[in-house]
Amino acid sequence: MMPMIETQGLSKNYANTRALDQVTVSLERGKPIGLVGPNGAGKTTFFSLLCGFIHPTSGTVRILGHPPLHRALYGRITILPQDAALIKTVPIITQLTFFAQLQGFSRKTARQEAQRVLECVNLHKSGHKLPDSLSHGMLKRAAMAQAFIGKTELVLLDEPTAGLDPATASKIRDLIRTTAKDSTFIVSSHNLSEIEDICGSVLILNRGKLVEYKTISELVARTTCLTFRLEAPPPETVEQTFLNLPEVTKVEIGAIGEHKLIIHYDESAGNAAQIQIIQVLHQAGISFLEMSRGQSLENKVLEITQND
Amino acid sequence: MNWQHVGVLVYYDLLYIVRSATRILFLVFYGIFWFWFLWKLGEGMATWLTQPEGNLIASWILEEEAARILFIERPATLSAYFLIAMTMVPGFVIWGASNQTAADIKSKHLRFLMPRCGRFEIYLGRFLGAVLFITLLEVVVGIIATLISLQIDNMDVAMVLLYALQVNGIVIAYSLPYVALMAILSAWMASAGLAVVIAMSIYSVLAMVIGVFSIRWPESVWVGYLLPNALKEQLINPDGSLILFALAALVVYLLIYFWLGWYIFRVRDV
Repeated sequence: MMPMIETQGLSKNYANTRALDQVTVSLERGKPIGLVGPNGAGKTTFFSLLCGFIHPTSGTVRILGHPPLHRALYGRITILPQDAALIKTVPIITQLTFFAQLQGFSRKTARQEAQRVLECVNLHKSGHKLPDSLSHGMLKRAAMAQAFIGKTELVLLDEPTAGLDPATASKIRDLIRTTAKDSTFIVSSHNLSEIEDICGSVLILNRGKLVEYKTISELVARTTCLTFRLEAPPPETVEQTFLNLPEVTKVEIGAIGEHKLIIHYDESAGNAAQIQIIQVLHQAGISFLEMSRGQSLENKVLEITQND
Repeated sequence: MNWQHVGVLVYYDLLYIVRSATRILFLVFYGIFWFWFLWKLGEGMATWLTQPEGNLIASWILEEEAARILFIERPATLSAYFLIAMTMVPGFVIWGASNQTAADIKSKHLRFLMPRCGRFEIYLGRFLGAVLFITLLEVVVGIIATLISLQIDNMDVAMVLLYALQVNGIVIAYSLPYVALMAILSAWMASAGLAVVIAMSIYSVLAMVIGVFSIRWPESVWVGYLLPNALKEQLINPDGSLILFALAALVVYLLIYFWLGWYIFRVRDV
């Protein structure tokens, strides 16, 4: 099956800065893909290259088998760009109708589609307002609405919930989950628990380079480690205590004040290893506040980007 | 190319005019200027140019023969409108057509459009929007000038109408390369204001080069051909063959400017 997105040695320089460096990746259709990395990692540049907003310094991009901006792609891709602005003096609904018409809707159906997407982002009562009169969160939702016009195959969302209140952010995540049945999403976000929540795999960029592309289960090692948040700092002997267990392969202790313990075990040992670890923890008199299978995505991304 | 996309872009471009502060400001200035000038024409200002002393003064600016044909043989009111319109075209078009792709690039609004339609469709749509906007204004002013001429100039109606067609056709044709020139600067500068300043600077520098340097180096007048105003004399001249030659040259200006603007818009990051 043809990959959704395929890049070969994709690089982009801004003056003397290498924003994206030799990115080669092939992304398939399916569950939403998270795009993460620290500020300046090249996430927005990657999106901009996929959409043809900017030209690569070297390398190639194919989307649905075509180069960016190819006529065969019109209306099949939408994007929520991070810093693009709607026209300040034109009502939101008029602008959305315009976008829908460009996607092939007739004037009448375009208006209906604009209403529909406004309802999706809970902005249907403000459709006739000018962008100038909307709050930051409402503007974000209006920009988000245009990305949901029509039935597109690929939706790129750059920081979709940044600056939104928790209730609205949750609605946006629900909307992504619902729509993800028909479209493939690539979501760029600094909110890694959000990425963990809605995405199936994650693409990690650091200083312009692709450092990891894996499913989230693989990345956070859900089947090979347990993470504990402890009530108190672990005793000094904790590492040796666990390494005495044959199934345990590695023990990590969080930084001072973190009260964290990560215990890696052999995947083949399965649930038995998990039970054994919990029992040893109990015997050693170490009580914990929270336990999770695998590491948090946040920790894993931090670890990867800091070690890179 | 998808013409439906171009049509939608042009339609909304014209729809947004009434909501753009800079275009409304332009319309106010444009309206005030032409209201004042047409009012003066309505008072019979141009009939003075049909008199020997008026025609003599006109011949200081134009050639004697041209002044005689324009103000005595042809409807003087329309000829006066023609001369002023041709003089004002660069200034008004530079201002009125300055914001083609500039605001789209600056605000990154293009990022909403580009996944839905092609760069060339956007460029062409914005260009045609500006052409229609300028043409619409010129047609309105031209019609009013023609009505005034029909009332004031003592000439055959058919002749006035035919001459009005010629005058308005030339004014519109003369405007088109300037719209294309602004397409270049708009795409290059990504700022309508800066595009106006640069265009005015080019216009002024060229005028200075021609006016001052040509005294010492007569060849420097050729520099004037970088802009279409070098053709103004030929377009105003009553000689039909000169007009046709100038109109053909305007097409060349239009094509070159349009292509240059497209090249800049195509290769730039937005």
